[in-house]
Amino acid sequence: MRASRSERGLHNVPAGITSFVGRRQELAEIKRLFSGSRLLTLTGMGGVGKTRLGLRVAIDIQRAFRDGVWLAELAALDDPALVTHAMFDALDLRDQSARWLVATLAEYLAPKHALIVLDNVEHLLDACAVLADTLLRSCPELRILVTSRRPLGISGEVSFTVPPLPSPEAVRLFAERAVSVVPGFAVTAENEATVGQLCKQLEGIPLAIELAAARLNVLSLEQLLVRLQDRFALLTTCSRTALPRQQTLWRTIEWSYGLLSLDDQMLWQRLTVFSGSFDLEAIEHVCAGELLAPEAVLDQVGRLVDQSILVRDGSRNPVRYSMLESIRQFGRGKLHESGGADFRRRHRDYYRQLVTAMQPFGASQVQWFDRLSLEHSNLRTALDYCLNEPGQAGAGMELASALWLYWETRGRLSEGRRWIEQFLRSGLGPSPARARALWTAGYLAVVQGDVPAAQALLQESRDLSAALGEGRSAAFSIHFLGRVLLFQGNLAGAAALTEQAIGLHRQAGDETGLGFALVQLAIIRCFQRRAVDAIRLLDESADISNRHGERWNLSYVLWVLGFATWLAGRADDAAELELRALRLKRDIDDRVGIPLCIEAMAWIAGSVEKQDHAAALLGCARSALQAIPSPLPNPFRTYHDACEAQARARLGDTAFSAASGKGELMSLQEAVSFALEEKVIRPARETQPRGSSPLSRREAETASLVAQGLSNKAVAAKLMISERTVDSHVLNILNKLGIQSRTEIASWVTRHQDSVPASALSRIR
Amino acid sequence: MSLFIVDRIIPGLTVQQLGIAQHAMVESARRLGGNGARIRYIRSTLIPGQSRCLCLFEADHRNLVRTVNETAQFPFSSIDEAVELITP
Repeated sequence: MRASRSERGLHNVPAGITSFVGRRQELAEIKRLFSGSRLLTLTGMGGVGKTRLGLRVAIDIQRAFRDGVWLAELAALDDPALVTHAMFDALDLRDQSARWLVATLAEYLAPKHALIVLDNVEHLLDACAVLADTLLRSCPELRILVTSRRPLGISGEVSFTVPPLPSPEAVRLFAERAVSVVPGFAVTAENEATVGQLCKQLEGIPLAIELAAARLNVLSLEQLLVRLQDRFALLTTCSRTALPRQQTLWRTIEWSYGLLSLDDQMLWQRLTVFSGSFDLEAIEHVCAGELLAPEAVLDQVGRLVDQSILVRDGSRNPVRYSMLESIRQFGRGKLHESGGADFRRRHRDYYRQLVTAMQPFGASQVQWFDRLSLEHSNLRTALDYCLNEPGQAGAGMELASALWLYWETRGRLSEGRRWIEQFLRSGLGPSPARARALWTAGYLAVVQGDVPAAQALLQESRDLSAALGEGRSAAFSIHFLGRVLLFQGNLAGAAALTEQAIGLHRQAGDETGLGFALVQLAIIRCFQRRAVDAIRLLDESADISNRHGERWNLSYVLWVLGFATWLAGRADDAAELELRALRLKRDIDDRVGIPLCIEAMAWIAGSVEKQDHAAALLGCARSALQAIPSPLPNPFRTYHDACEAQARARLGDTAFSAASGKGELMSLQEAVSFALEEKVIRPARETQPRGSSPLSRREAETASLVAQGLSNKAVAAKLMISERTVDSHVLNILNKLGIQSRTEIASWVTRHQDSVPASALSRIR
Repeated sequence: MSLFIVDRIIPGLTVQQLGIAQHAMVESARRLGGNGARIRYIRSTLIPGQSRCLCLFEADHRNLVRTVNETAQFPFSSIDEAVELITP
């Protein structure tokens, strides 16, 4: 189960992976290897358990990383150009500017002591290798753990080949999986030999063992063994050039496939058109029909879950399903043999319908955006189908454009622009879809602050819309051209274009566009010091949002209303409005809007001579911007600079820095709580009582001996433990203390003599 | 092999960042070249006032240049075949 957004603090590693069998030696060895390298790759054949082992390592050492452990799952990603985007997702960052994403990522990670786990990278090996190399060069405290069938092949990489399970552990795994199929199953003196033979036949490959154990629902152990042996002798479709163990896995999958009914085989094939995870409704829409009865699909899904073909994620409602990569690859091959292009089209059609049905300006807008986030891998697959399948570019252009508010609200601006611009370059002639795609790309560009690109795209859209008589696209292109002028500081021009757009939106009866445009004009009026006009415009926009039950635009209405009210001289009312805006923005997870609200709160606090609070809020706003990460938009810099200058002048540099530094050290959640005047709960690591040590007794002993200049071998001799154990203690010490060298361990011991347990000191003196 | 020029506009791109990108492009070209596919990164020119960056590659074909740039995670707006006249 993946950590949910609200639970995400310092990691996103799934908390509840199913039981983990054995691997004690491997775990110790991997941790030892990691003590000497910042890049460790777990290699091995599909199904051998690389991911599970990697996640276990990550969980075991996560406390040692001050800035967390972050998992990027890449199995469902096909496009190497999107690897950085996947890293943004993993770190829960927003792709909010037009800057080079790799540079943004490197700057974000540079001061961080974090571990990134790149899972299943073999199909994106070159892109992952180049990115890992870049990040490790730029981020001195970053470590990367990779799972892949092959090593990345970059300097400094240490690789560890994950072996199959040795016999006793293979038997334990079989027994654990068997219990879930046959309650009460146990390995006894009577069946021990058969189970052992089975595991030997399956060569200790965990996935093969799981698939075989799942068949105990209909076969006895003896039948299972005999049938496996028979099938292995008969099955020959596996490539002869594959390694023997790979052949064993492939044959086990083929055996498992062969035991299914034709209908279940068909469903397995068809399910491979999905990427990442998917739900029952999607399965029924995409896979049912054409020889599969829709009413039977539910039972079929149940059988595939029972056979470990599908993995069920019950932490979501509705339940979602996924497939292990080896299982998917096998099914995809079978689908290809049977001619499966039609199901890729059906997959695209389903997601197109889903997006078309979306109500981005309604009461359920946030749920829609969350749903689309869950479906992101499938949306990519649908867009990729449109891009690469002849004659589908027009549909792809419409799909990418229809997602415009999703790209923005979920911080996927570069990716959205990239898809749309690829479709724009695909050679399609002038059309209403092109006019819309142009303004959508222009909008994403202006939100990114890429004003020249936005201007060119929006002007082309405006001209094309005029030529085609496309009123809605004309309104949006002019609307966002107004924002371009606002970013360029041309307030009069911005106001004129936005007023024109408001007229066009009214004419087209488009309340979404109208609601947004009224807020845009209100911001311009604030900068023009026409607060009363701004408030009137915001009243109308709020009415529209309330009529639709919409909250995204409403949160911006409240934010600008607070700004306008402050300009009108009513600081108390303004502060109250900003509190409401910030609460709403936290509810809807608007990471871009949160720092804007906190900034406005700082300006308001400064204006009523609460300079200390203003300075702290400026620090909080900076922290919230770093969490995206993004700079403060240019039009607001003047107010920010004036607020900071005033607070510095009143408080003095030292007091200002102390107050703003306090805010800057807060996490996003802490910064929001502080701004909302809620009780701030500090993370445990900062409340550790003085004198207590983060090290275990054994680690403290090791640290003290290292501080005396002893080598690991000498430490091992002194403590009468193995050198390998000392290696592991040293790695833990470095990780827990967030330091890099033995010299730093010595410094730490000197500074924390009182926190090293007396028993440890007495033992080693 | 032919020459290809890769054009991109990346707001805020600094010389230091271009250095990082250059390393990524060289490494990417090294990894993707071979097995009969030839590609070589030659040089880059940054025009700070326009946030524009032009990168020159020598390669067997355009698709290889595209793949190298995608692998380097360095977005672009166009890839065109180019001709260079060097001072005689």
